[in-house]
Amino acid sequence: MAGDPYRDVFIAEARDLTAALEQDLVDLEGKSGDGELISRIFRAAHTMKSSAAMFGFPEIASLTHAMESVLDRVRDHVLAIDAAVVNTLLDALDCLRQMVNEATEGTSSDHSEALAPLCERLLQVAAGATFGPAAVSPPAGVEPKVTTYQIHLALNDDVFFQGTSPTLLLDELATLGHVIEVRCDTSRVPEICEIDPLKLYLSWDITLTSTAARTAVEEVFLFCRNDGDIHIAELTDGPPASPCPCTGSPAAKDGSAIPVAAVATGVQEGPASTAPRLVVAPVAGRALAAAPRPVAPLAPATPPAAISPPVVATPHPAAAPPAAATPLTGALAEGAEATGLEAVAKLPADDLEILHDFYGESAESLAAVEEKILALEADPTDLETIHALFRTFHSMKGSAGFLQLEVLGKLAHETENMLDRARNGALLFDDNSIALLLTSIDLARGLNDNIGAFLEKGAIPADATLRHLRVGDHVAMIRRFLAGARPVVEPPKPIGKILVERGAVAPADVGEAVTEQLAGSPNTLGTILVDKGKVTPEKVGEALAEQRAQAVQPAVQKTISAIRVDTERLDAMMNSVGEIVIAQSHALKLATEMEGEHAERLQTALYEVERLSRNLQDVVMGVRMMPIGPTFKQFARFVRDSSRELGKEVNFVVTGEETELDKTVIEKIGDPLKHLIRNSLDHGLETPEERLAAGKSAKGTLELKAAHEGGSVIIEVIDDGHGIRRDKVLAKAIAKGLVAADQEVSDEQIRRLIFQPGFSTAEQVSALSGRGVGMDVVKRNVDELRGSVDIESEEGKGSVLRIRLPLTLAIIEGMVVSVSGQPYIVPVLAIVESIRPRPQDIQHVAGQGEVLFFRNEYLPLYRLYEWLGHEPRVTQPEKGIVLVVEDRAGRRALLADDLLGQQQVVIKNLEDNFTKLPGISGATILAEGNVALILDLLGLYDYRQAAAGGVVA
Amino acid sequence: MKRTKRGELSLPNNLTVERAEGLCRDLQKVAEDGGDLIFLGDRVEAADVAGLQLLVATRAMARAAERPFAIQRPSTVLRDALVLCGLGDLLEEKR
Repeated sequence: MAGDPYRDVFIAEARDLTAALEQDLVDLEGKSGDGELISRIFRAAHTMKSSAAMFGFPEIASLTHAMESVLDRVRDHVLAIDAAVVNTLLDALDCLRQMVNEATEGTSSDHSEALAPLCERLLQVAAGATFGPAAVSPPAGVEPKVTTYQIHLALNDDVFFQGTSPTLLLDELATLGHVIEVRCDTSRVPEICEIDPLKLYLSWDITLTSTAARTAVEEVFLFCRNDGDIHIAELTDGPPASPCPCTGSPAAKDGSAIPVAAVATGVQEGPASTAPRLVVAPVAGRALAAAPRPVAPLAPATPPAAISPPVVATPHPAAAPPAAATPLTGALAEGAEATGLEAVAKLPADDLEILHDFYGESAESLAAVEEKILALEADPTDLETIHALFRTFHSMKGSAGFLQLEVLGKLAHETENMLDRARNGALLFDDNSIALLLTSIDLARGLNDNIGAFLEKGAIPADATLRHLRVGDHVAMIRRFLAGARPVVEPPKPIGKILVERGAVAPADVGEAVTEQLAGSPNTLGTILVDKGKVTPEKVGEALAEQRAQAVQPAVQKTISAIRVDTERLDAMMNSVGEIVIAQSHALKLATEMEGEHAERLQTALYEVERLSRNLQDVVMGVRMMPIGPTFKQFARFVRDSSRELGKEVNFVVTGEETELDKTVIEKIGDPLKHLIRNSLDHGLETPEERLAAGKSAKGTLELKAAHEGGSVIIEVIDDGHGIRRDKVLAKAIAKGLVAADQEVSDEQIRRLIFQPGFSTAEQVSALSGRGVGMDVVKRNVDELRGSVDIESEEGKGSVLRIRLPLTLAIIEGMVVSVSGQPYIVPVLAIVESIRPRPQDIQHVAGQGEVLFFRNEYLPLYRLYEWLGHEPRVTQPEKGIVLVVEDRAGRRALLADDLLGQQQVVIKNLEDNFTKLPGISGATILAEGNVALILDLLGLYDYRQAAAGGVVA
Repeated sequence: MKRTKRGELSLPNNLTVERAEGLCRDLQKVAEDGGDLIFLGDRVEAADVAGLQLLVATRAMARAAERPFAIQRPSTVLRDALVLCGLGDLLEEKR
């Protein structure tokens, strides 16, 4: 299967999902009440399960199914989240990651031995058991009461005409909990030759266990409670467990993903009372709900065409227009019954007048809202329009209820629900939801036309029945849409709340305005408050701007799409763009040496090419940029596990996760960061007892923070622990002979000591740190990334470990220097200062060679022409230029002939074509077209020191 | 509703109340035409109680006439709808 693009896509997604799952699972422990988080975790497991089964990874499908079983119970509030639940899920995730990694590498091993007990463990967790010494019993009272409901559902045979869909009712029941049993009485179904296809003949007895209250079960039948025989009885307690396919069910063996496929039903025809009771395998209600829907599927991703099926004007016999217009009397009842107008036909004369008004107002408002919906399509965040639409449907629902127009009321109610979600920020309108709104308008208009025809002509339109039938489906579609819709935005705060928070109005004033609005005021909340003199229009404008800012940002994010590109291609593109920039610079240089009118025009054209090629270079650089968030988040698990091991309580905080830097830098920064975090956890943060004794909270804070600063990225590891203990560092340094006992040591020197190889103040070597191999490795790694690392610390208050990194490794800011007539590039980051020294600043020290007296410090002076093997041109430092540089080996001075200028250079790797040269990190092409080598100052120093028989730092 | 070369009857993609009348007419016709009532359900994309009870009615006729009845290769949508409505036994009916 290697090279199968779909499989590759699955693997790439699976890697992303496992990474996201780890972070979310770690978060789950501290946010057990976060329904959205739980749903997100469930969806990730569910997506992996489905995709794995589809792409031929049955073991992944089995494991994710077992995880899903646990998450299903968590989501249903049947299972409380505790350490044992999270640990089990994390163990499963580790196994999952291993399987995904093997899939990535194209290797495979038999996981059945590990998988079966793991799935069994998950299943037992799902059933409520806990494991291991770390298991924490759920606090008393957390487990909600599970009730078994016995529901008898025998609807009238004309319910299809009332817009009621029994399928939807059964589906909604399933979402409330676990359907244990569905008995369908088919005894009244006639043979096909005698059946009326628009009558209902079936009835049901359903056994459901659920944590939902009885009112929630009753609510399922809210709109059909008068349409038949519906009984709800509460029986006994006791939730069933979900079956696990890993333990031998057929689903596990063939990798099929949907548990309902394993459910066998066998209801026999005959009266319900005499039919053999069928006990079906327990079905997870949520899993069933997550399965493809039985009715015309509608998910948010469904194309609009699927949402609005074309109207087929097939008149039903019952809806056929009467041969002659009939006066508005009881004689209309027959036609009215088929269109939900039977109640209208019985209205007293006074109410008929109201019905007339209702018809006229509805026609007007429906015409107006269609325009509003189209406006909403252009700006889905327009809260004013959403509020206006909400009020329209809210009013329609109220009037329809009064006039007993149940179908119209139902339609308005569901549409209002959708708009309510939108105005609370839980739904951002897109093509699908707009299509649903437009269909609501069409159907409402059609139902209103029925009323109009009924009132004015006493006749029923030919397609009236069909409209009623469509309302049922449409309502089902809206409900499904809302069930599947995820809030794409953090709900923007209501305008009233913003005004109160800003101190512009009192909460009581907002309460009054809301009451007025609900009572039918056509004005917005802001207008009402302004009219009452409670707030100025300016304040409302500011609040609206804040609200809009909250809503717009995620809308933009939603439209972002991505493709995966091989980084080698990006590197090749970067290389080519770099060469374009160089070639263009060369061409421009040549053009500037030309004279005449054509030369000037050529120069102008080349300046434009320069601008464009620089832009192109920036764009390509941007493509390589990635946010550091995922790297940060992967440490959440590490912090969690490590802090437990150390017996410390840690609040892990991540900020600036959107900060972008080059992919290569991100890939290489993981290890140094891990060392720093480990160091802070082990040496920085105190145990809860120590913290309490120091007057701090028992829980320490460890923050990972990223931010841009100039052309660099600053990453900080901040802890609020005890800080660096200067006396301990000094004592250790004296013991190691790094400083003399009577030597005065500055804070700067103390900080440098920490990065010395083998330096550790830890009294005990722990599994995490204390061997002194951490901080020097950090410095070495960061140096290799052409960055720097520093520490700030305040005793008793904490430390900040700060890494400064270049945005990219592909381009450096270089100083072009001349050495014996040859250009070389020295990274600007390493240069402290460039000076032309006075003759008296250069001295010879016996045994140490030349030194430069620089800012009260003697620095060793090296001549680059000697190091690089050139014939000397400038031998007297006062006639050349001296670069004072600093890196891991300390400060030193380097003599060059001259400075030629500073410029950004694109690094070209030499190692593809040449042997690695010590002291040379790459090459670049200058504007003149000549090649300049880029110096690796530390490598060059180490090489020369080793060659001279010195000690390499 | 046409028969395949093997004599199976392919169910339409929509088995909902909106198409119930047309479906009923089709099923009545195949019932009158005689022959086995072996349906293929792989094309079904939407189904609800109105459509499903027509299949129950067809089976009732098949049983009375002692004619074979089966629904083969049900789509996931059809299978889920049958299970949801407690009619999963329709899938177990054999020749």
